[in-house]
Amino acid sequence: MSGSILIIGGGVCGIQAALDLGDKGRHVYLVEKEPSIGGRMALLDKVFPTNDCSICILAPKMITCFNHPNVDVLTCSEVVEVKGKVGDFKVKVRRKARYVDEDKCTGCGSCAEECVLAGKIPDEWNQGFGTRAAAYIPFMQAVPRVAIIDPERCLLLAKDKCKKKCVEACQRGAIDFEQKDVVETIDVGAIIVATGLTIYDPTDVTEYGYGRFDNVIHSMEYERLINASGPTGGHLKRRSDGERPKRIAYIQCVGARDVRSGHPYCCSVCCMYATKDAMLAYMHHNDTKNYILYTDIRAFGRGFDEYIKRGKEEYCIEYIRARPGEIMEDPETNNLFVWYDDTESCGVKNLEVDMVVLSVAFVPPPGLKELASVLGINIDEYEFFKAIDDMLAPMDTNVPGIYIAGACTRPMDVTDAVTQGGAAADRAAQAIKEFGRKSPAKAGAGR
Amino acid sequence: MASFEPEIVAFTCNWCAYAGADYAGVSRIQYPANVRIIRVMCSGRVEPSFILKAFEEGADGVLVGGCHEADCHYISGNLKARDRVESTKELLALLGLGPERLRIKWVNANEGEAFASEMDDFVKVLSKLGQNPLKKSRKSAEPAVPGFEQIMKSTDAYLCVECGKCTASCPVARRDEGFSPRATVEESLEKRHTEIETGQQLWECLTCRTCEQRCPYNVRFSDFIRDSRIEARTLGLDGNPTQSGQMYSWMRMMAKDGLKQDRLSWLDGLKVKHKSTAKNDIMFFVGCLPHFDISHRHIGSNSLDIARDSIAILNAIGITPVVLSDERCCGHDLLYSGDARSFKELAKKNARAIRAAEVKKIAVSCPEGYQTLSQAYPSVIKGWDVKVIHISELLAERMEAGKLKFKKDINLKVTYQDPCRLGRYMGVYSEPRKVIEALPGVELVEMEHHGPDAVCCGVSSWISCGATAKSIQLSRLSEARATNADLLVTSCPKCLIHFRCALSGKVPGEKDDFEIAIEDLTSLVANALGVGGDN
Repeated sequence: MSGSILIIGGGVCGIQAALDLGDKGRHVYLVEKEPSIGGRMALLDKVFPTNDCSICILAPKMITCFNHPNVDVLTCSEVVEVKGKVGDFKVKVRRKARYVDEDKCTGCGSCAEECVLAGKIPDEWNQGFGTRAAAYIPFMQAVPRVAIIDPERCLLLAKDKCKKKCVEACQRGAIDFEQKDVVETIDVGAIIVATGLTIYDPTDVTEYGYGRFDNVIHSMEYERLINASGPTGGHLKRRSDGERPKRIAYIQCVGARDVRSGHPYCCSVCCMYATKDAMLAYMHHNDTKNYILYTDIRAFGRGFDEYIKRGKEEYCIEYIRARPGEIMEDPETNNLFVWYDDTESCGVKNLEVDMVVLSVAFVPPPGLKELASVLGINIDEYEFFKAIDDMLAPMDTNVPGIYIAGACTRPMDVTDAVTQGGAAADRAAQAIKEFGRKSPAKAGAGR
Repeated sequence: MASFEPEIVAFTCNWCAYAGADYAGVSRIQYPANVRIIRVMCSGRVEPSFILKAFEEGADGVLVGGCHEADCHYISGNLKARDRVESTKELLALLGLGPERLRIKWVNANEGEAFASEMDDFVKVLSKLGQNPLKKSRKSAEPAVPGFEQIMKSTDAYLCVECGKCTASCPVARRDEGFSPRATVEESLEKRHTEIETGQQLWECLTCRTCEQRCPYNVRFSDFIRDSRIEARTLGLDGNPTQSGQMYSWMRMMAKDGLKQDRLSWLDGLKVKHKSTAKNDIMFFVGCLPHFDISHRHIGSNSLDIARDSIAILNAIGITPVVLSDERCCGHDLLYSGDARSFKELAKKNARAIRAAEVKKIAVSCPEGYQTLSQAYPSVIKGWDVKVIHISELLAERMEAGKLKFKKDINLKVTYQDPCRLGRYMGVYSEPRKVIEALPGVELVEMEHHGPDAVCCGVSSWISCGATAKSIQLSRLSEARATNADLLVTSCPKCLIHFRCALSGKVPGEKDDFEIAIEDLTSLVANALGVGGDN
């Protein structure tokens, strides 16, 4: 019997749920498989429709959550087994070795500077644009701001052959190569699943040349490039020559509203974030010409339609109703030709631009199916988690006591993810309360 | 047969032969009344399609009359006519109609006697030969047309969101403003069916499936076009067929009853083994290769090389294939040009012959035959389950089993053209590449557009060959040229014909930007196996 609540996924949705529950006096375990909480939102530059700095509004939440007396944040951790039922779940969590003592590390970054592989490993947090070392801090605002050692790349861990410069550099003696993965069992009364999303890999859309053409990038790469704390310090640069792109085309619905890719659904956010991306490019340099090639503009939220209007009027974004057929590259200049059929005025045209940004679909994250089977909860036809009733019980799953929230249920924006995080927190707290009432041994339940 | 009166169609030139016939008339020279004369300005105007059409419609004999050599009023039209008649005779021989049914005769304006005696003789010969066997062919019922509602349902046209990805991908639409798959589907959604049926756009589509490959909602536009053409044909509408439809004529003739083809004489004297029937064995479907060899001789198609090399390859890997003497055209081109009835007739006749030979597998070298036999036949032939395999797949299979040994070095850098039917229709991309890469000394380099993104050779089903087609062909050839390959390899006899044709005429700019040798995969493989035409 336990009054604690497990939240799987430390993105903005999971953080919101943890804060709401913590503030209510509930004890929370927040399990995050990455070394930092924050999720996708931590990597974005700005968020629509307010153009707020994403990390500026998220970081305080991340820190509050991490330091909350009622919240235990378990990073580098994954749920491997769940047994029991509402009020009394026994959950096994694999805590992967960080090879750094979280209590000792101050996040100074000396280990990363001294690591012999510094600058040699593509940085996945920066979508492969920057580089990192084998010992590194995921990103500037990481919470906890603690280094991690990549066991697959670290020469000592992978090949048992290294000068161990990181150990020398660490003044706190935080580096611990003896750390091992451990499996801990925790008791919880309810579970919230908020594992978020991943983005569609556009390599399969061969006609757009992603992976073949340097200057075709996807929207998450764009976010890091335009981000002041990203690998280019916020200067938008072409991969081919480091030049600033002056003409940018944003292609909507890549892998979304697309039966072939298995994602026939609308991602509901791309019209907005592409507009935001275009605004940012214009804000940085107002001689940038932005083209958004869309299928339908779906600006449904409050202030969204006005946002698009501002895009057109204040940021000179040209919206073209067309889904391009193909992108070709000029091998000399690495400029791109976007072939499209202007469905409003008719006729096949080809638009020369310096950079193409593919607005890629939101898709279920890898491992979602496995987690669903560990939890025993249902998934839908697209392999998102499935609620028992989308309309009237959108947080509830087929297993009492397990709730779902955020972009692991369907593509959604930050606002919706936060709303759902709060809603799921409420459902979980309610479940424990009801269970406590029903349970004959309610005394002593919870913490 | 005593009462048999042969019917003769005579195409006579305005200046000599027609005048000669007229002279016979005004001079009251008696000759048989079996001839129907059609006046043309020059015998050079008479295309093989005119002659074949006459036979298709039941003529017992055709005579082409022109000026004597060196007398042609257009310098050399009569010589062209002579060459065409000669090659058309070969086609008639293949079809089993008998080359004797076609004559060419030089008649001067004052040679009424000559015209009359030619007619006397022709009627005698034809009377002996007997009736055109196609005359007796019964006409099967016109198959039910699907109707536009059904077409839209079966091709998922209703799912279209009008995003235009199809049109932006289409090689035709990029060159021809009037053509737009999106606009066509939109018209159908707005129930403007008549506009689709009667519009020229209907015939411009290459059915190459590039649009389908990319359509986010899987609207099957090529099928939409195919079925809409069937609809249009019920209104008597037609596209603009290549060589004014001669190919369709001999294809339709094959769809008729009573034909006793002479399909196998090209095999005489070749050192390849084949047989006529065998239980549970492999058949080689020759298709229209012998006919293309004749109809496209002027551009050096050498289509029969593919057939010969294919059988030689099969022999080299231990297969003595069944080759049928009464095989028919597979029907692909007729189906895709809207003639569903003839397609069905061809399918029935082929199915009967193939089943009678008791083969278990059909090997093809032509992707259109491959696609038709495996994807289109099941819809018209009940219980059709004969396996069909492209020769590249067969070779890749053998290679994987370690049963293919090449003897000769090829030493070439090559690039590969994915035929639409083999690639986007049948999904065969890797096998031809595996085979090419295994050839000794061969390096394969890819063109900018390859695999599912490959560009069509510009013409399909012998419709709409024109400026757009040529532009597509030349840009594709320049892509091939840009790879610095020595050779463009394809595995479709039609790609070969279309590319060689594009290079046979004038090109804009420097020919060097486009010129590249083109060969079929089978020729390359046969050479490497030491069984090619040169051996």
